[in-house]
Parts: sequence; structure tokens; C-alpha cells
Amino acid sequence: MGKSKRGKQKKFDIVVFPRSVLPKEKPVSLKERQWSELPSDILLKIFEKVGQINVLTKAIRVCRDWLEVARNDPILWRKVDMTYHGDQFGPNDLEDIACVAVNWSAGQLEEFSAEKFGSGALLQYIASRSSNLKCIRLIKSPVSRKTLKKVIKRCPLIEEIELTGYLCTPALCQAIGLL
Amino acid sequence: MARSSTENMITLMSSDGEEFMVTEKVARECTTIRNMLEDDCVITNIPLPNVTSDILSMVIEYCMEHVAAAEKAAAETAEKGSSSAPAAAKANKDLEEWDKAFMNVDVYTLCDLILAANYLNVSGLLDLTIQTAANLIKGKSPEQIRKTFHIQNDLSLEEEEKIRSQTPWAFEKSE
Repeated sequence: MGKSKRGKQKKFDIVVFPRSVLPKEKPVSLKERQWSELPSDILLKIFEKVGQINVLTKAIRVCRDWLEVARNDPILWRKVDMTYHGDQFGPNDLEDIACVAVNWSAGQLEEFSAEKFGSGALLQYIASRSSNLKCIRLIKSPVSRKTLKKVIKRCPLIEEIELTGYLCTPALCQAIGLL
Repeated sequence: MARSSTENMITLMSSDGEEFMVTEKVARECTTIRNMLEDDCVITNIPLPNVTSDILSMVIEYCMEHVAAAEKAAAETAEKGSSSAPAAAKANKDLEEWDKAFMNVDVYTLCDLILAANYLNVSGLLDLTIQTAANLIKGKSPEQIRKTFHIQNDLSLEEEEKIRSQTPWAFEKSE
């Protein structure tokens, strides 16, 4: 069989042993593959609970499968929640992380939440790539009402804007269309 | 528990041929089995080729505990007319504690449980196992995650370099 070509050899990949020959424990190599080869729908569910910041800063560097699942499934990035980051990262890093999340959402981003970061440039970047955006939640973000106005104009599907830590002035209300 | 003898019993058969007799109520905790029973109500023997006996026995243990807790709560409500809030809160807490102890397993068992809960569609167990896995990932570096789950790093140097250039923050801050 040494001479046969690779394509032909495939036939012999499956070898059936009687049960008694098989070791009781699963071979280690199979076990080691277990977590890196989880079905992507299950891994996505785990990533959702892990939180997007953790996924983008840690999980994608674990192995190729985890990277591929995070990068290639826009569903994971439909709702990007970057609140509760525990001040682990500075505003500039958080902006960069948000940009990757927006890129990987492949235009399907519907909800974006940020806390203590989010420049006008970031919000406009998000608006330019997310025509499906429905909801923005900003907690103490340095965003001007001018930017908000632009974002609303750019994203026709927006139905919810939540601002925490802002002074509710008539000018702000006017900018977001309340007045 | 005398009345359990009059209940319909279902036999679940694991991939390695072990048989488990459970009440229909317990079996119905698995949505996959519930759907089978609803499609064919005389079915009493269900082969589960994707679940091994050690994992199936754990899934059954989980379902039995949760059915028992629900029955106990229902019985208390029927007895007193309405369930008292503190008693219900305590029962919930007890069940949470039980879940927590139940999740004291190695990562291989956890993975098998996730796959079985997903296949049998036991939503409570799937949520519990997924959350447990997520908690094991949170707050760890990539290397620590690999160690925890026994994952080989199969990213090539070029790929690592690419991630590094696309996501520089992940490197500067976390290590």
C-alpha cells in the first residue's frame, strides 16, 4: 500500500477493532481535541457568556478554531456590550477593540453599548458600517450632541438611544430628535 | 414516591448499551425525548447513540433533582394555597447549591455534559454547563485557558503575528 496515492489510501482510514481491544479511557489526543473542536454553535453560546471584550482580548488567541468561530460568525457581534470592562483597558484600547467588534459584525451590528469611552470618531465609524443599528447605550461617553445627530441621520433604523451621565439639556433633546 | 410505580416508565439506552429506566416525567425534561414521545406516545425504549452511560446517568441525575424540586414546590403550593415567598426562595437557593455541587467535574466531563445537554435539549443543564465553561474562561490569559481545557495551540507564528497586529491591545495589557 506504500505505493498507492494519497487519494486511494483514504479507504483504509477506518479500521474496526473489536470492543475488547479498545482502551477503556479515550485516547489523550482525542480528549485534547475536545475543547478546541466544539461545534461552533455551542462555542458561540460560551463566548456570549464570556463577554465580547474577553473574547477579543483572550479567547481568540487560544487556538485556530476559537479564532475562526469568533471571526466568522457575525451573530456574536450583533449586540456589542462594552460596559462593565472594569477599567482593565484605557479608552484608546477600548476604541480599538470596539472597531474590531464592528468589523467582525459584518454590518449586522444592532446594539452598541459603551461605558467611559466612545469618541465622536468611533461613533461615526460605527454608524458608517452599521446600517442595521437599532440601539445605542452610552454611559459617560465623551460624545457630542453633534455626533449623535450625525449618527441618527446615518442609521435610519435607530429606535433607542440611552444616555447615562449626561445633562439633559434642551439642545441635547433637540439633537436626538426629542424636541 | 409510591406513586412513581404507577407512572409510565421509559428506558433510555446509552451508546455503550447500558439501560436506564426513568419515569416519563423525568425523561420529558429532555426536549428531544419529549418530542419523540409526543410524536409516538407508545414508545418506551429510546436509544441515545450520542451519549455514553456515565454522562447519561449524570443527565438523568440532574433531571430527577429538578423534577423533584418542581414537584416539591408544587406540593407546597397546593397544601398552603400559595407558596410562601421565603420557603420558595430557600428551595431555589438549595437547588442552586445543588447545581453548583453538580458542576464540580473535570473539563472533559463538562464538555461531554455540554454536548449531551445540547443533543438532548435540556435547557437548564445546557445553560448551567455553558455558564460553568464561561466562568472557567473569564479572567484567564490565553495560555491559562489552554492549560485549563487542555487545548493545543495550533496557531502558526504567522497567524499569531497577524492577530498581534490586528489586536495589539490584547498583548500589551494582558501579559
